[in-house]
Amino acid sequence: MDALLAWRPQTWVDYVLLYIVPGFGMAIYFIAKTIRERPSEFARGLLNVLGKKLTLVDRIKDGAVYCFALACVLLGWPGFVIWYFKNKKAEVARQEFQDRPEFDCAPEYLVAVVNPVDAEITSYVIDPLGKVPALPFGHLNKAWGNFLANMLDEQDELWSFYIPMGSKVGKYQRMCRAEIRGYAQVRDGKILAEFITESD
Amino acid sequence: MTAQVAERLIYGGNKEIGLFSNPLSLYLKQTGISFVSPHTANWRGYVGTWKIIETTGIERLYLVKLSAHKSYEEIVGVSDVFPGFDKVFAHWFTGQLRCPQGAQLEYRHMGYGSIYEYDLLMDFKQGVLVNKHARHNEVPPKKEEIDIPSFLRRGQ
Repeated sequence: MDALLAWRPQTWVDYVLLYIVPGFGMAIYFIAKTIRERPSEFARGLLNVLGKKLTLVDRIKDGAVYCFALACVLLGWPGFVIWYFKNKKAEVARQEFQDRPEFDCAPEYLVAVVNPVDAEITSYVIDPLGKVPALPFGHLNKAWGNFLANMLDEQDELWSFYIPMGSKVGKYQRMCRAEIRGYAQVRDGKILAEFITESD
Repeated sequence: MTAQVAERLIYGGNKEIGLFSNPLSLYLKQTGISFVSPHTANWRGYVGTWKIIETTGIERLYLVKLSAHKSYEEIVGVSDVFPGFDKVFAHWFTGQLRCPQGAQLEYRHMGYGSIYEYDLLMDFKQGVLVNKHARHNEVPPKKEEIDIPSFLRRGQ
């Protein structure tokens, strides 16, 4: 062990050997992964029944491919490391996008901070036929109640918002065919919920 | 996606016409109500009948009938979704209703994509009719193979 720790590269061969050590570790990892993911005995039996049994030529071809892949990993392992981290980063970004809530409202559409009581006073709907409950936001009253019930934090602000027709809205930036109005729950400049009062 | 069954609209008399818009969708989204699709031509799970009723010179949009699938077998109506109401003023609706009129120029197997001779377009603001006009549609030009991206073309 002491001899190994005391060893220092002296020739270019030593340096090459030192360089391929991480690649060797990576190759071992890939080989173990391949062995773990190989088809089960049942799957192999099924392939045999279907006449897809591996021939000697197939095995030689596979062997050649594995040798080539091994050489690539041993020599080009830094590229694989970069690719791995780039892929991980892209995966995290994809997941963040998927987890983002699907709101029409965005910070640029916020108009002003409003008091819930003031919002309710101006929200009553007039209908001569009486086909709307005499409650704030009419038929949307229950949805309004649920929206307000979630504004529990002291930092929460109620903002009115207005989205002009033709704007790009939502996670997938679809074009809205009509103007949209409503209220948003905002905390530290971030939209946490929205209540749409008019839209198509 | 299969062409979808249209909503119904009663306007200017008792005749029902097809309506290629879903004014109920915002209400359902806000209240978290959803229905079961009975078949592929009705993914939204309901068909509403709407009526434009004039009172004191103002025309408003009302939902007067609803056939919504709570389950595959159980169908609910307006008073089930809006307890205490036999018809409902659609005060949440701001946007345009599209009613196809005349002959079908092109069938499209997708949503409300089919093209008809005319579209009667009605603009609403908070459920009140503010503007209406008709649009004359042309037969869309036939797409040639060259207009389609190569990876979507049929094999030779």
